[in-house]
Amino acid sequence: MVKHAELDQIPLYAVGALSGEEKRKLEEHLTGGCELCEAELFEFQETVNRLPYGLAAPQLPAEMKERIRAKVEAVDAQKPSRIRWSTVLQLAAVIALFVIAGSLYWKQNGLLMEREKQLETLEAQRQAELRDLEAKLEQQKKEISWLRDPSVQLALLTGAQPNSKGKMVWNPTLSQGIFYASALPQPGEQKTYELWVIGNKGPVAAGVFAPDQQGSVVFTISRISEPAEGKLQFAVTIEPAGGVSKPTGSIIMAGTPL
Amino acid sequence: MTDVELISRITRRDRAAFDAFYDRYAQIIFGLCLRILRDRAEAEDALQDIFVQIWKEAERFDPARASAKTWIFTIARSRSLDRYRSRKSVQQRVEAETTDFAAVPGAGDLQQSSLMQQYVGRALEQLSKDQRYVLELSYYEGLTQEEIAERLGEPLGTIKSRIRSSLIKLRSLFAGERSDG
Repeated sequence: MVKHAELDQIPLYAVGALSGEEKRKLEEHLTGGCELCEAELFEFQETVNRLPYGLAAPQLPAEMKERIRAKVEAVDAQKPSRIRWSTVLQLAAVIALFVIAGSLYWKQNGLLMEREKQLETLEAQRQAELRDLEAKLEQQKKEISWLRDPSVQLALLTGAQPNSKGKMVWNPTLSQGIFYASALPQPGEQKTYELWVIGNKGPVAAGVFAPDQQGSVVFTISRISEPAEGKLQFAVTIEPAGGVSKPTGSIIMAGTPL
Repeated sequence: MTDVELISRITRRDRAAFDAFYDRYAQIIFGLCLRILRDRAEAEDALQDIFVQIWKEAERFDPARASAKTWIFTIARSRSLDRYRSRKSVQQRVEAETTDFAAVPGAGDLQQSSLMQQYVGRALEQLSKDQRYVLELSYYEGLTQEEIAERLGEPLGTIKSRIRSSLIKLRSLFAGERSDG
C-alpha cells in the first residue's frame, strides 16, 4: 500500500509555505512522477490562484501598456534573432551527427588506406618473389637445355681450400656459362671473387661474384669482354672490390673442361 | 482563445497575442504586486518586469506541469517578493506591514469590485481570521511555515494545520469551478 504522507505537504507547498528539507523531499517525490500528488498539487494551485482575485482591483495607468510594449521592443532589439533553444538543440544534434559521421568516415577511410598500403606492400613482395622464381626457372631451363647440348663443356674447379669446390658449365658457342661453387669463404673487406676464362690469348674477365651466407654461388656468365679461344681453363681469384681487367690476386680455384 | 493558446502565440512573437494577454491579466497582477509591495511606483515597475519576463520566457511554459494561471502568478509573486525583500529601507517594510487581508491603496484607485472579487471575498470570509492571516503571511508576505510560527509565537504543527485546513476549505468552496487555460 502506497503511503502518502506527502499529500499533507501539498497545500503548504502550493501556497509557498514549505521550505528546506521538506520542500526538497516533496519536489523529489513530485519529480518521481506521483500522479496522486500531482493531481492534488494542481487542485491546490488552482485554489491558491483564486486569492489575487479577492483583492481590490486598482486602476492601471493608461500608458502602462505602451510602456510595456516599449520595453518588449527594447528586449527584442538587443536580440534581433531570437534563439529558440529547441532549434539550437536540433541544430546541435545535426552538427553532432555530422561530426560523428565525418569522424567515422575518416577513421574508416584511414583504416582502408592503411589496409590498402599493407596490400600494396604484400603485392610488391609477391611480385619480387615471382620475379625471383621466374629468374630461377629461366636459369633451370637454360641449364637443362645446355645439358642436352653436346658442345657444352663441364669443368670442375678445385683449389687450396679442400672444402671449396667449383663447377663451370660452359657453352663455347655462346661464350656463356654458369658457375657453381660451394663452401667458399667471404672474400674479405674491400675484396671480391672474380671469374676468368683463360684461352689462347690469356685470361678474360667473366665477372665478379660473392658467395651467400652458406658460401654457395650460382653465377651466370652472360657475356665476356672478348672471345676466349682454344683449350680453355677457368679460374677464380680474389681481387679488389669491383674487379680488375687482368688478374692480380691469388688463384682460389681453377679447372679445365672434362 | 485560451491562455495556453495565447502563450503559444507569444512564443512566436505575436504582439497581438501579447496585448490580449496583457488585457486579460495586467490588472489582477497589478493588484497582486500592489498588495505585496504596498507601493504604487514599485508595483508599476514590478508589473513591467513581469510582463517582459513573460515575453522572454513564454517558451518555458509547460502546460503539462502547471496551468497558465499558476505559471503567471508564480512569476508575478516571485518578482514582487524579490523586489519587496531587496528594499533597503527597513522603515518602508515596517510601514508596509498590515494585518488587514484586503488592504489596498487609496479609494480613488479602486475600480468597481468585480463579481469574481466578490465571489472570492465571500469564500475568504468563510475562513476564520486566524486562517486568513496565515494565508496572507505565506502568500503575500512570502513567509515559510517556520517563519510564521515564529512571528505568531505558535507551534509549527499548529501553523501547518491552519494553513492546510484553510486551503482545504477554500478548495471545497471553489469546487466545480474550472479556470481557463
